[in-house]
Amino acid sequence: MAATLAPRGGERGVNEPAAHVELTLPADAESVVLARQMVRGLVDFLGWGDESRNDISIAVTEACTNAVLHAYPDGGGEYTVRAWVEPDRLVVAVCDEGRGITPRVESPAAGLGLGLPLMLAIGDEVSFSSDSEGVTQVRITFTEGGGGG
Amino acid sequence: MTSASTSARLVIRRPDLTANVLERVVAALAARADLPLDRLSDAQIASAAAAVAASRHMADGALNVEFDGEPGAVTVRIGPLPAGAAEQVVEESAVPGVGAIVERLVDRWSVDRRATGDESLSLAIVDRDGAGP
Repeated sequence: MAATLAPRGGERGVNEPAAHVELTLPADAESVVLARQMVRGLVDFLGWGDESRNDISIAVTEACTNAVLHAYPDGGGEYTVRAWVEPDRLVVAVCDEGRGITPRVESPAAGLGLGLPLMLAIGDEVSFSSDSEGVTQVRITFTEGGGGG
Repeated sequence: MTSASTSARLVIRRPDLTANVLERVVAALAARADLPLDRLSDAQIASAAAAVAASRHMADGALNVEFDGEPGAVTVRIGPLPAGAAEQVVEESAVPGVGAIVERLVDRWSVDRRATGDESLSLAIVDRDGAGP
């Protein structure tokens, strides 16, 4: 597993191909199940096993939950889950246009702080970035049985 | 299930992913809308059939689907589609001996035409025995 924190404007290439699948959701807790099911459908397509499917679901759930909890402190807003499917890997990016990556502040709403360690443990590559247009992205690359799978 | 409504927008640019993704997303939405199992299944089958047919009409290969879920009802809108394609999608979902699956399984379908000349196909699936709108 590798993790990077890219500077503003440093992560998304202008030549990056459009995502194969893109799901845009309201930033509320109840939307996360839809994102999780979208990704489970992609894992099914790839024919990966139950363990990979469950691990990837957990990591994507954590990335989406981060967007829901932290991107829009005043409520509202949307986030988008993008996915690229290749024969031997799955790349998932969770993007929002909220307040960007901020230091963790202890509060009842902050959760247990396990989201990031779980994403790092399960993903083969994990990156975090914010670009000049205000898009914050958590991008995770998975392989079957890779990372924690 | 809560009383909150759910909306989502999905873009699929690889037709071979359509069935896997759409069936799971629609099932999750229908479950959240408290649709009974038979209606959930109807929603999955009708949406997938319509989407697969619709993807054959997309010049750029990108299929756009919007979802709305509320207690007792799910609406799936597929489009924009080229003019005239929405009704063809319904017809092309036909299975020998069964007829047009989309027409048989959904409670209402309609074509929404826009001033720009394109259109979208709207499918509504409701809980017939419950409190669906």
